[in-house]
Amino acid sequence: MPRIPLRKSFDIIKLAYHGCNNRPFFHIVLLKNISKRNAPPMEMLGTYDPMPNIYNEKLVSLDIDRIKFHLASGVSLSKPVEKLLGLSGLLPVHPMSYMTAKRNRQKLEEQAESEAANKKGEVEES
Amino acid sequence: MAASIPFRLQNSLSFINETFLQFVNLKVRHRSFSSCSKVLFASSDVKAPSSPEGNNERDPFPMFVDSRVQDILSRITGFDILKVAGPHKRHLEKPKYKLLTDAELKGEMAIAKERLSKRLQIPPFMNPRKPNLTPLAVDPDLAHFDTSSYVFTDVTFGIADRDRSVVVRETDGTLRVAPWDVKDRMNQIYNPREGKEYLKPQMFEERNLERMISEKNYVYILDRACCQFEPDDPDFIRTTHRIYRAVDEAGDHDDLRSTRHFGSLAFYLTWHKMADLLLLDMLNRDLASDAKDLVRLYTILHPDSSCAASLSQVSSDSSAAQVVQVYIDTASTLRDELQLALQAMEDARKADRNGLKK
Repeated sequence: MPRIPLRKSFDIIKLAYHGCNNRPFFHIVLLKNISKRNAPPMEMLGTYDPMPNIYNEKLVSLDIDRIKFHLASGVSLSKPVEKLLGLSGLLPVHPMSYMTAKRNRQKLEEQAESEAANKKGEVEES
Repeated sequence: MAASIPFRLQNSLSFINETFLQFVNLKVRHRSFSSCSKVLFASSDVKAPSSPEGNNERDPFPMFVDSRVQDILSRITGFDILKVAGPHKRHLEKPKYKLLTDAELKGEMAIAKERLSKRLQIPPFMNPRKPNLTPLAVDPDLAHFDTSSYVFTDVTFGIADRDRSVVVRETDGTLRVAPWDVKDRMNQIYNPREGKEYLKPQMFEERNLERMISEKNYVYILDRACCQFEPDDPDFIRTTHRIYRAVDEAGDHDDLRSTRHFGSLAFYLTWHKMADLLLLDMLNRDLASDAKDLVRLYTILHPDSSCAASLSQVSSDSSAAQVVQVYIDTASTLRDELQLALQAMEDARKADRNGLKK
């Protein structure tokens, strides 16, 4: 009988959801790739609060020493964690961050253009 | 998620090298920043009296930690055990009674005294810290990656609050060391300290502070400021200096005696060459050795002054009256009052001695 091969198992640093309804909050944890999202972590390496506070800041805490240790021993990173570490200056900025930034800028430009056109139209009408 | 893994594995080695370099740089820059404490007074401190010698450019901290200065400051603080151990807010407990021999009682008292003397540790006297404006990385390609900035805090185990590195990725893509207020907030979030609040209490605002001063709650304000601020925070410096000036003007020096703030008060007044009222207070209270110590402190802090020059000719074991006399002749602005107080103190001592002889 053909057997389904076992999934390859490796260590990965990823986000675990620890918020409640409409209030996301993440722990940055070290887990096996095959374990559940909120499984008891092998190690907790930080937190990420994606909701901006009153000063319009998103807070990230990182256990830099342990993260560097795990990076050196060849651990994998999930994409959101890669992006965060890229923004923190610990790793090079993730290419996806550049893409988002470019798209956001384009969107802003388009908005500005359309607003300018609207204004022109209003002036001509009056 | 899976798609990103090969990308990481291929490049991880070179990434890690760069990472280490980047973080080493970051830390080095941070350290050098904290070590350079030679700073101008903050704009909020304009009212502080500026002496003609340009004390504002001198850094008081190395002088403050000098062992001679520390000895003098702790000596003149005094140790009134009833005041140090006096009424403090605490949980109600049943008193414990013990039966002790005289020797045991002495030992217990010594232990209590040592414990209480820790309450008299003088908060450091520093210049305000300087903002770090050089960005760590400027990346215009990353502008508008998000609508809010990201604050990254290092929560490595065992790291001290002052050594913690906090960086901010701003919405325009620049990465910089977090401003001091952000760093203080992050420290309070990730390593909360009892007595410190996340938002600055309103009592430190100018108008509320003036009201508290008029009520003469000096020790309360100073204790609260010690809890809330770092010693080189411009707010701490503004608040404490304002209180020291108010205490000096009102002549309430005795309120701070036997508290941890008396040393700072004496250092502040001497540093700005306005210790005359404090000296007068000491003479009026018959604290001759304290007065002598204060003049010695003046000569240590201002080695170029004429007072220091003429005091170096007086022998070191001369009496307090002689030392104070030198100060009155060379550096005092309240010459007549001090002279009178010195005379009165001397007369009282003589009368005492005569009374004993009779």
